[in-house]
Amino acid sequence: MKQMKFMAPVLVGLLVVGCGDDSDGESGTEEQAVSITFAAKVGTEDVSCGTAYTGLGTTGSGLEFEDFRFYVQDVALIDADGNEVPVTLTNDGKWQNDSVALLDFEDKSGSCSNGTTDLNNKVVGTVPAGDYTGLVFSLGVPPELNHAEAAVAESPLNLTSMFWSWQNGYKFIRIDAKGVDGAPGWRLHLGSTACASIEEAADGESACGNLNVPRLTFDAFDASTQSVVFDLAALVAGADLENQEAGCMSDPTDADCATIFPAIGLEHSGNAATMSAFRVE
Amino acid sequence: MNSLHRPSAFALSIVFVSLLFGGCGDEAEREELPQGASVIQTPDSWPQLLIPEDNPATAEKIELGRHLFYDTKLSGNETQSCASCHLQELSFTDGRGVAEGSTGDITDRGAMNLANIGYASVLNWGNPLTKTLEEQALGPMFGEDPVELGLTGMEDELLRRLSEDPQYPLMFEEAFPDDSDPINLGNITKALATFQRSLISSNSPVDRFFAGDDDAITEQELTGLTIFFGERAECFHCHGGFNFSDSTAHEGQAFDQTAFHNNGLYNVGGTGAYPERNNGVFEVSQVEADRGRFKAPTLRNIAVTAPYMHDGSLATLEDVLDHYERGGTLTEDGPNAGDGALHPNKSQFVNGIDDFTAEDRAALLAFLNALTDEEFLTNPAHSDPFER
Repeated sequence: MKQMKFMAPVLVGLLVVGCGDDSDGESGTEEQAVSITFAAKVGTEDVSCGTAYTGLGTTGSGLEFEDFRFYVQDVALIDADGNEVPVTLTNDGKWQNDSVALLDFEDKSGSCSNGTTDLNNKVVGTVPAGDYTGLVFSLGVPPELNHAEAAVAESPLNLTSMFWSWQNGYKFIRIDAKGVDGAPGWRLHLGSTACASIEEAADGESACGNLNVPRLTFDAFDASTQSVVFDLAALVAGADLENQEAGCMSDPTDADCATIFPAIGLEHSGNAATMSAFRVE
Repeated sequence: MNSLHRPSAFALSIVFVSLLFGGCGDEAEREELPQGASVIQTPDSWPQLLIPEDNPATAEKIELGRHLFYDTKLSGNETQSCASCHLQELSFTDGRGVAEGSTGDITDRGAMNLANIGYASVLNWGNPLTKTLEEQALGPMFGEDPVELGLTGMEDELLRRLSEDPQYPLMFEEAFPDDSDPINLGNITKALATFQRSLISSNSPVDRFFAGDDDAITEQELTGLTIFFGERAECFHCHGGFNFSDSTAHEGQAFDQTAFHNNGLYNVGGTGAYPERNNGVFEVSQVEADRGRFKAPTLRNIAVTAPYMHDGSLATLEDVLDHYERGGTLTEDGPNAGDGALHPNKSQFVNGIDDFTAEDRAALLAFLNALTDEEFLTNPAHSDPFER
């Protein structure tokens, strides 16, 4: 929160060199750096491994995190005229490639033992110099990368915890939590489903019927002072956490997704998208 | 009875050989194959294996893959290897209806027969998306629902285990001589895939019969063969070709052969449902017509791969014949009650077998038993390298 989010254009010129941008000769355009901060919270509390959070869902249940990671893509800032100006992601060989950024709120401590020690709460890139007033991005992984060979994919798409092998794709969001005080535990694995009929798969296509890639727009967003908050309490607010099959695994018939999908901006089981789990503050 | 069939044996062998082996690549095609394909020996009459351009087969890679396949380092808690559920003497199945993972999770489906798996166009029972052995390896290693090998999030630990082993660094170097840092996940899947491509089963009595040895199978087995390939039993529509599976891929094919079938095993409550989590391709595609559609696996070594079907619900080959004679399984009671024969998605070739006499049944069973390749089940090249 303390860092300066918009650096001077001159610095950015250095940063942009070698970041793999193959746009054709826009050397005249001045670029500015942008860093978009994310936070994962339960209500007003920051998420941390090994902490039991209580009073969740319709049953006031308790959860303790085992994992909390998600991908974002297709990030753009919105200018004063309402135009979406794409952010060119800085490929750092770790958290971001040219298309996708991984946000990571687990540090492998305590109950998060299957995770990674490093944390990441930022999406970093460049935009043409200008004044921006809003933010728009999508969750998930672009379709063309979602079905590429995971074993040899570029970071951050080579993390086995995010593989979703049964649909040959990735988990776009992975939140695993064990139950506290006898609750059964809850998970969200967001990913594309209804991927390819046999015929399409045979043709080498794997366009998924349900991409499950929510696009989230925040008309008022100042990257230098604000962050995007993913609030688990809001995410599970409509869920009965005492009666979960396994949590929401993205299947269109999965009853555990019925209130979760709407909270991240997707329809499910006839429930319209309301998008309550993400906010700006 | 016997004398009726004897004269036709030669003619039959010609007919079936052309059925089975028609469309093999010619010599010219073969010369264009990726270098190294020849380290995997297949009969001259078979089409060539498809080998990905970026993963040519070498003896070193097969040997590395064999070690990895049998090594418990490939499970999170080091209790299981691929071979824990894929036992050579059972044609790389495990004798169980459904498999048990390294942490005790029970899988939904049985361990796949790996005989000639390099010729399979799809690898899983109900997933049309997994088409290469390299991709498939990720499923058991990193799948979590259920946990099989339980390596999720442990890729660094796995690479450390292999790097610190006295043998593996050299084996990886020899298998991947162009890589400066060859111990990585991509190369693990490549080596495992290459070893599996080397699992060629081609020496059953039926193979020897097709190769021209009229005495390789008995009269009864030959009778069974004619039933198997006949329009009354219709077995061959889904289990045809040199690999006895219609999901077969090889060099020289102009078309993708990916097939999944609903064989009328279930019809829960008469609604077309299958038991939960076991709806076949539907689980992936969410297309109603795909409900209950599963791959028709190879029938090679079928006598040793009991129990049968994707979920092991049919205990014996006799049960399997009952199923096909009836044209679907009737589950009389319990949570899965319903008549599979009436499933709306059922294959048109599963219509019941008319006038299926006790002799017919015995002959068909004898034929299926003649698909067992003892050499494959005991071949030292496929065996556990850590056994001493």
